Amino acid sequence: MQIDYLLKQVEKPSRYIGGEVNSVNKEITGGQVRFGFAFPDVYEVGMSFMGLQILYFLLNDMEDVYCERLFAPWPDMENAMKESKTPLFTMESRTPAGELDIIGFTLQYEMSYSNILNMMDLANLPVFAKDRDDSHPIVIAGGPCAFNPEPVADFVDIVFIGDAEDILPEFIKRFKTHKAEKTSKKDFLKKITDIPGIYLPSFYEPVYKDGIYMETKPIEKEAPSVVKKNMVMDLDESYFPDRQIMPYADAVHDRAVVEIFRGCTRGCRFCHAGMVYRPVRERSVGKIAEITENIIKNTGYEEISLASLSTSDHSQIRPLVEMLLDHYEREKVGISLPSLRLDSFPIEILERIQSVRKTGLTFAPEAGTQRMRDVINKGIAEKDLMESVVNAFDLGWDTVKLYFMIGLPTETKEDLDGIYDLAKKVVEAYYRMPKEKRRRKPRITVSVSNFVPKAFTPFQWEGQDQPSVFNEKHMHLKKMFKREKAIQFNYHDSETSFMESVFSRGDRRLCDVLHRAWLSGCKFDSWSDYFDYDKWIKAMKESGLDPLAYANRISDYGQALPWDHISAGIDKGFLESENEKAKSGQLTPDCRQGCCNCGILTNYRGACNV
Amino acid sequence: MYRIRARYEKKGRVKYLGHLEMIKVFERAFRRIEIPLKYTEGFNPHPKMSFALPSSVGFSSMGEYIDVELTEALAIDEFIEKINLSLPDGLNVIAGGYVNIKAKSLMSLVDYSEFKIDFPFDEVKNKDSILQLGKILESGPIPAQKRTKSGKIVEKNLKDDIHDCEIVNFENNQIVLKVLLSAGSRGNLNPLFLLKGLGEKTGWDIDPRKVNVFRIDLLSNDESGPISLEKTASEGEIQ
Repeated sequence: MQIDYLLKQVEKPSRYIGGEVNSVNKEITGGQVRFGFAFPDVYEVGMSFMGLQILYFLLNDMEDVYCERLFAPWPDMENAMKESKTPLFTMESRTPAGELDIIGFTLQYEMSYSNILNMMDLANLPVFAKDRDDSHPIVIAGGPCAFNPEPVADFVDIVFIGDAEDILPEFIKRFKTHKAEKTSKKDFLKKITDIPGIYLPSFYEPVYKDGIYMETKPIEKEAPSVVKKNMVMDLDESYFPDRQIMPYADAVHDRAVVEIFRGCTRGCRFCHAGMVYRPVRERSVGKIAEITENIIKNTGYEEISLASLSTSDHSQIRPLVEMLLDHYEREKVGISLPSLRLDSFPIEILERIQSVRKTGLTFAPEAGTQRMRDVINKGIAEKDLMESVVNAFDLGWDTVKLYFMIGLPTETKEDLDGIYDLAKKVVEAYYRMPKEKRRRKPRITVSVSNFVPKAFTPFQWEGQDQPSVFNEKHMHLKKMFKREKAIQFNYHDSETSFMESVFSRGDRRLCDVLHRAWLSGCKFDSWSDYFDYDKWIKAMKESGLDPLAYANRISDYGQALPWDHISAGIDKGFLESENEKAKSGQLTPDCRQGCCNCGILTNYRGACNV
Repeated sequence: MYRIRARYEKKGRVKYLGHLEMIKVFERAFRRIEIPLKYTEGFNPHPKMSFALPSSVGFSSMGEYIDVELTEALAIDEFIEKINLSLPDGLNVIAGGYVNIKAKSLMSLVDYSEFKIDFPFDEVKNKDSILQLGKILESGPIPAQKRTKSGKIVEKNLKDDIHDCEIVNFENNQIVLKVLLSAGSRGNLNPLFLLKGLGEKTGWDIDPRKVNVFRIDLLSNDESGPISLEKTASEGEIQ
């Protein structure tokens, strides 16, 4: 009744109702491990995330675990909850989050961190790990941003570095013992340091000298000096669900998803995922077919997305897609290939895909000139790109999205202008087609994002453009694109990218910044309506920190980095040489054309089978 | 080609689904049971379905209707049994039958909607007005301002759209009303809008967050008077 009262006053009540098809309803018993999978953003964003679906079912398939979902309530709901003193509750059984055993936050993007604090507070939990005792849930975190865990280190008890599917069962087993034996939180933490990929922030202490970060050193004897990421070696052996929760509320992605491989062989120098999720691990065609069949049967979805970092790079992509087409054309199940590199994909298969369900086309040249593309090791030539575009137009497409990044190291005005030139060439290619083939005006979207240097990439030592510089570049491009009626130009907010950069390479001192910013009302920072730059800058100042020293700093190779005590399996020396090669525009070939000695081969024997 | 007309209820959590969400829920529920759906043509084929004036977000109901087209017929009982296993909790088909493929659309049949409405009610303060409700309803218009789609504000007399209004129950500071209101394209009165007008006329202080609305049925004008939309589906018979 209480919740009905709340739901009747919010804008989108279906975000909070739960009970979706395939969501799990378990009887609550005393012996269960109660797990809250927490996505620190609104429901429709969180429900689009494949990792949630994997871990949710993996945990719920364990008999004595009940995993439920937690999302950040939108501010209208938050106000209604606070007014009625309703704590954050789970989607499934509407249990107050504070009564759970474990709350696991996923760190997908830095600008969601303030929501983590806000959710803990809405759950009536102290936000700092040190203030939570044995009566509180254990708070864990994982996901891509966990590779640099320091900016959230003071708030979480345990960080999972790398893949989690194969270690979660062991972790749960140890937790059950801890719960049964009522050991203290600290004793429990001491007993899990042998589980691969587990990082315990409270067992380490950062050292600074004259305000400069020096190192993070273990302060408990159980803590290893470097925590190596955990890695699932064989995707075929690894858990993948045969169903998905069917989201309400117009989820960003509302379709069946099967992960066809993890990792990437391309080696783009700005790409965080492409580095930390090395090496490539493919799922076999047979396994993908089996998973797809089950998910479609259990969901009724009309579209299956083959997810990965670069989908056309699966070694069996052609037979895979042809097999799926043969199987699903009649049932009107469409196939979507996100992150497709069209330069390497047979156009006649695309044509078949489009005959089932028509979608837009996306190209990610990332940079406007060949020189700039060489710097970032985006091995894509203009000729190939244009060829694919011409083919696509010829087959009847008229909607094309082009993704670029600006502010990349060594960028010049020519590189910026190159973005415009390339987009214009795409439009011109459309108009070169015979008139009878052009049904309407082409719709070309150019989306420009701002380069954010990320930990564990070759560009981790590089500085970011200042917001004012980004703004100038946006204006420059905007002016040029204004005269192009067929091109829609979008760009990202500079100040958001700036704070993202601060946090992506941040150290533990940023916990204080995060705490202050949250106290002053920061939340939903990835939503432009809520992002409040001035509050963040004020929080930095109050902490006595200079944001420029984080975002714009160019550091030398010898300098300690706040994530040096974490290992993603790749050698720092490799990243260093990649950064050097970038400066001279030297390409590094795709792993499939020869090993580039990133370190994975030696750090994880048998893992790389490229 | 075949068309099934089904009456369904929505209760519990799913009453907060908007209409577009409901369409998706049904579409996928149909796909899961693998019945021979008829699809629309075009770049994004969808099963051919249509609804009769879905009730608002937050209302529970046992008077929702959907038509779905099939390329092959199947027994109605089998259809109902399968679809109810496939729909999420709170959605249940309670009756159904085949209708002629060329029959009038569901939407065009709707003339009335019958509701049960309950809300907290101050017994002492409103004692007089509650006893006089019949008289109040008869004495003069119930004026209300309504904004049209073009943004114009028009004066309306809600009474034109109230065909029946009675107090079903009234105890423990809770009142239950049963109303029959105009519905559909020829005139439509939302029960929450009715309460607003009624509140102004009677002086009742109604908090819309504490109002529960339950749709009993949708009705159509027939020669014999209003009939339930359910009656427009000839049960079991394949046409």
